[in-house]
Amino acid sequence: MSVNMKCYDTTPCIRCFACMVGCSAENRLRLQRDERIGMEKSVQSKLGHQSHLTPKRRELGVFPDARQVTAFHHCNHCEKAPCLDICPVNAITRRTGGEVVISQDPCIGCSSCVDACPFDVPVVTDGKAYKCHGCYDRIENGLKPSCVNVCPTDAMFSGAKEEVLKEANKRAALYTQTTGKEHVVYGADKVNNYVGTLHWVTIIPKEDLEAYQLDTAPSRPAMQFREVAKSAGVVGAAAIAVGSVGHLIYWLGKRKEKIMQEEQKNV
Amino acid sequence: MGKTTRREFLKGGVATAAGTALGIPNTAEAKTVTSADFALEKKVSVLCRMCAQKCPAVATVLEGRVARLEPNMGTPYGAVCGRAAGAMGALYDPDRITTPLIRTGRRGEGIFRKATWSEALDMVAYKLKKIREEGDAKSVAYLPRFSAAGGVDKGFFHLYGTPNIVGYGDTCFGSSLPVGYGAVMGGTKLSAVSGPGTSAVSTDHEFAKYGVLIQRNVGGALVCHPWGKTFGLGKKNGMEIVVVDPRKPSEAGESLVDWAPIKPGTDEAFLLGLLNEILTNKYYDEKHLRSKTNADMLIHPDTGLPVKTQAIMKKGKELEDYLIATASGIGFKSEEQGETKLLGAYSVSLDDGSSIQCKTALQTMVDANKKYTATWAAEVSTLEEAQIKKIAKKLNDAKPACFIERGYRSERYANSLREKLLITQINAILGVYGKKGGVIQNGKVKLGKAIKVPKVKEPNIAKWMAKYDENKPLINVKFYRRAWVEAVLTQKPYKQRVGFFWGQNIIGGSTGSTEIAKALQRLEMMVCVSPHWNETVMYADVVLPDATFMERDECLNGKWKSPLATLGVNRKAVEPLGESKDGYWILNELARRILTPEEHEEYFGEYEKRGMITFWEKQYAGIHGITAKEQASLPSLQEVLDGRVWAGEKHYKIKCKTKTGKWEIYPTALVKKYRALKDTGNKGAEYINPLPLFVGPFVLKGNKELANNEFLPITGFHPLGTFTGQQTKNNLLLKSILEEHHADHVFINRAKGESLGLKDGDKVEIFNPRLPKIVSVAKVKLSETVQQNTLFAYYGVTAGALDNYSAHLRNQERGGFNPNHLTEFLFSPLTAGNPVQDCTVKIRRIS
Repeated sequence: MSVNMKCYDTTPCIRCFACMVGCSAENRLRLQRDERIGMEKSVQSKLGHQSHLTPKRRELGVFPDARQVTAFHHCNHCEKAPCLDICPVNAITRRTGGEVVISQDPCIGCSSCVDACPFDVPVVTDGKAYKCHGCYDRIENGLKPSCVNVCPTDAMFSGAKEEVLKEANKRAALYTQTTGKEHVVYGADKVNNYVGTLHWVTIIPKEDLEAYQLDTAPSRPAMQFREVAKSAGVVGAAAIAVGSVGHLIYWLGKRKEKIMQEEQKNV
Repeated sequence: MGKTTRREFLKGGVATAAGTALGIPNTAEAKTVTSADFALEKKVSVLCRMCAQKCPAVATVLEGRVARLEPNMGTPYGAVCGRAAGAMGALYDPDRITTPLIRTGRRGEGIFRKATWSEALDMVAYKLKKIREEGDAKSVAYLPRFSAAGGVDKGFFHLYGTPNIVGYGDTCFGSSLPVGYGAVMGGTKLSAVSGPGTSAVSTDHEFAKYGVLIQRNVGGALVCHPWGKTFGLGKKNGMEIVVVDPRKPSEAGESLVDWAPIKPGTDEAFLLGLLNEILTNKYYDEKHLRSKTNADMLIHPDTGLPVKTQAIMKKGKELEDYLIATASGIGFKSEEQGETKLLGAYSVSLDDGSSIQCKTALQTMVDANKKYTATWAAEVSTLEEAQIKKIAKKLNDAKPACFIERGYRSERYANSLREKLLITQINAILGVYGKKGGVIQNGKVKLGKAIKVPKVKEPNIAKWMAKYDENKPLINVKFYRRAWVEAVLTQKPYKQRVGFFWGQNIIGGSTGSTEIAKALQRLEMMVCVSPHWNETVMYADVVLPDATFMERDECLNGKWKSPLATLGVNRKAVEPLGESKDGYWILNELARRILTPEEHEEYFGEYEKRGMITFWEKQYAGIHGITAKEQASLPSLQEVLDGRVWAGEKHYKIKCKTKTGKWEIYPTALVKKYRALKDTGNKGAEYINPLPLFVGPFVLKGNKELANNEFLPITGFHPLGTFTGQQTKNNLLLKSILEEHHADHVFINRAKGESLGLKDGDKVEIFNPRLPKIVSVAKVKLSETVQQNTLFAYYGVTAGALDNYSAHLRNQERGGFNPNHLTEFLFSPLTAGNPVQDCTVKIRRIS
């Protein structure tokens, strides 16, 4: 199986949210199929953790040079997925198509993936972490991801990485030509050393990268430390754990001192 | 991204400690799902009714539940929007009405008891039968909207004997749109005849180079198949857009999209300024004007009509020929081969030997429009003059692959008709009709009648009004629900005793809700067929719960708002929930109880024996209206019933049905009507003045300054909201996105709001100063993307001022702003349209 890629193109997108509703609905279908929770029951809750593609809308500029911008918030299925690397119980794996998937069974809800993800993607609900699984079940059975499947305007498309990149670059070049503004395919090239390239790329005017909250330097410095901990093995990790506990004791002591000082001041 | 905080260090340490304690387990592979899991899915072809558009879709049924809705890609424009993707939220809405109900409280109170079908049907049938026997069938009105028995329901009520099949379109597309468009392109006799409405034409966004979105937000509004899709494809192909709207919608695009933040109610002024720029700079193709339009028609200075005409035959049709001027003199258009004069005045000899100076039609328009410069338009509309000029220039550069959107749900102001007229005139001058990237004729598959019934001879209420009510000579005789309300209140032309509403929310969806509610109190009986609660259901004596589209078979459908003739059918995916029933069953049960046994046998006997196939066969056998080539490629009836959606070819053409056979940019039919109205002293005549002059909405009359806390209210669709919202309200699949967008708030310009001391989330009371007792309560969102005079709300998202029905809905909060609830029961002059935004509202903060 070739490596898969998904592309969101901001230009033809009509912000109808079919992709987002479709995602949330498809995960309810999975709840029925895999967890025996019928659709008639699951639609009676919002189930935020089952919506893996969500809008982050904000307003930019000042009237009349103003606009709303809807950032698409989702897992990028990073080439160097920090969540996968950090998971202490190896509940996060990569499918052959490149999708980074959390298995809820072994997940212990420790939130390491939440901390490691520079895009703030995984959410922990009732002791389990959730995020976009790239619809790997659909893809491995010859179907498109649900968000792509319901997109009415080809604003989302997917397929083999090479083909998606070819189409994305073609579109970006056309938009650059028609609008006179440089368009880029965010995530096609290495974003940085922390995440590498992305399996979910975005076509966007270069000047709007920040507006759409597409981070050009995603990182979580704390995680680099944990990375060391993990590779240094159990002894090193234990040392760090001890260090952490030591630091906690130190910190608690400091805090107590501070509170006492405050109290004295108040008196 | 930031430095390591102490908290992060600690968390890392704790997690690492946990991992260390547990030991590093083997990798736990995610569950592999095989094709066997997907093989259990059953696919059913449906036509989505999450709004009214019937986008061809496929429902997935898994273990007896609808679990997914996706586009049916059998048509080149297969597409569904987010509402469709969330259809399961409406189907499995825990607050759906799933048993017949009989009212026990007062009308409007919303207190009902459960009833059996036989009790409820008997109650309705007893009343209807009695009225029929009294010979008063016309006093029963049938008001359909989301009917579950399409193709048969109207026939049944005609058979019953009433001419009053009362459409909802007078509040949407049915009033100003057909008259404004028909005045230029024909197709309406301009008197009491429904003409080309929203379904007539489509914008060929896919290949357009430049477009003006005005009165319509293609992405956020409805008709995903095909308009939403073609709009997106157009953007993908490099189409440039300017949005002329008091609010900037995201759906038109968020990057590199121009916005002209127009003051509400001033579209007419903007369009006049745009026309002025186009005429002054000659942003038109002279050859096009000569060949397709009546720009060169010589106009009699006194009558405003062509100075001389003669009848000619062209392609077997009688047309009206008119005089034109050329370098060699005056002659009839049909006889002239050379270049006709588009501008200037020419001496024409009349039959009595005298002569008279006659301007060309184009010159007449140029002169009338002279004072409405871009400078003037900018002042009225609060737009920048340069922006109006730029739009005109861009249209010129792109023509004919460009468009001005013709609007939708566009009954908003007294002068809506003039806006429609101007849009059509400008599009016609630019030559966009029938052209690639312009505006083209929709195709349709004309079907045989599922049920053929005798015509009702008696005229319906609207036909009577068109003739005798001087305020409504241009009323649409198919879509007249508010005129029907007037008839209920005045008992003219005759008494209305029963209102039978099928999926039509007349209170929530039309201007003057409180007056409408009063009218409903006067009916002897009110019946609502609906699976969802709304304002109108609260007034019903009997509520009959019909199935949603996913739970019923329907008649074939051959009409979409698509340039491609399309054929498809909605099939039942799952059994109706609870006691709810499919529409044809309901209709047949009523028919059996109301009609004579002979009538019932004649019209419904076969359906009782064979079911829906009897209707499908008749419809399929009668298919016509498509080309021979298309006919040859039609699938069999069985293939259609099995879920195949068929689409014909795209034809770049436009129908022109004017008397002259020309696109009448100078609308002679309107001239005649205008003069006739003037002669009788009709006060509304100026609203159809055929010349490009400013008339304006009610609300801008007298140029009164708005008070500091006074706004012009506007609404727009949220991409996950619809009409009065029954399918999309109370729907948790849609709700989190609606909340993220503050879709239940009213939006006010930030600087303006702050000057009033408002901040985000403040609650305000909103009221119409002319009806101060009806008060809406809504939360405020301050926004930079709203024009200063504007109060914007998403349509059909909130419960509004008349919100007691939301007590039946666990996921629908009370309150919010629906302008229909706050407006007076007014009509637009002549068309009897729905001037829903033609008022001001004031706000006051609730501490």
